[in-house]
Amino acid sequence: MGIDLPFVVTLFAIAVMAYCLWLVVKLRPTIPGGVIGKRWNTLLGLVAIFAVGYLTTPFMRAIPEEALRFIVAGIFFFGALYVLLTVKLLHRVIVELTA
Amino acid sequence: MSFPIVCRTEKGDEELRSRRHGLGRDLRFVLILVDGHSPVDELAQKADGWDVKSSLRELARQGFVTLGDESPPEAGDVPAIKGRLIRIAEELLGDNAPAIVEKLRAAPDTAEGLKSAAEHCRRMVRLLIDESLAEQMEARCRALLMTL
Repeated sequence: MGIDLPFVVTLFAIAVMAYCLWLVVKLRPTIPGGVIGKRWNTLLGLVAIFAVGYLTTPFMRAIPEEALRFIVAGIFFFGALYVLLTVKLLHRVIVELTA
Repeated sequence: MSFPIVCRTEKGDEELRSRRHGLGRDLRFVLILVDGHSPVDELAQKADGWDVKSSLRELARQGFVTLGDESPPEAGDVPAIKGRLIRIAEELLGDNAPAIVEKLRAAPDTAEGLKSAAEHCRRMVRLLIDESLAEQMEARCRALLMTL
């Protein structure tokens, strides 16, 4: 496995995602429930899925093309889901704070 | 019943508006009587011949009303009202109360300051702790804040 620019970027991506995972787990006890608490476990699950998905990227050359396409499609799908949930959650928070 | 003041919850208000929860005639009548500041004995006098206390227990069990404090503090007594709000938060929120109690304690001893802090706390509870507890807290605090 050669160390080139995409590889370095991938390592940074994995590091950032690991930090995100640590952050969502660490913040969990401070949000026992409510509008945000209800969504937090879902966001935590999605970050965990991303973390696992990102960890596969340094080994992509070894993964069969069909499986690779499936992994990338999955990351795209869950990424879109994550953004949707985050935007909806932000909207709820804005509504609550401006009501 | 150990707490004579009774307040309607949001569910109670909604039932009066829409009959969505299909409350029976007797319970609905008692729910209409609940005004957030009359003690149970006064409500019982208004509804002479009705078993108001049992109805209120049932309404509280189903979440249409919440039990308030023993006696209202004097109107405009901001520190006393603040103390009551803190007690309500502690009763309702249990282990999750400290952050909310801290906010209420830090509120200025003015009517506007306390109202604003109470509203801020309600939003915090709704966003971070529990939506139904936020409604209960609002219902129980409403009558107190009206005396400011």
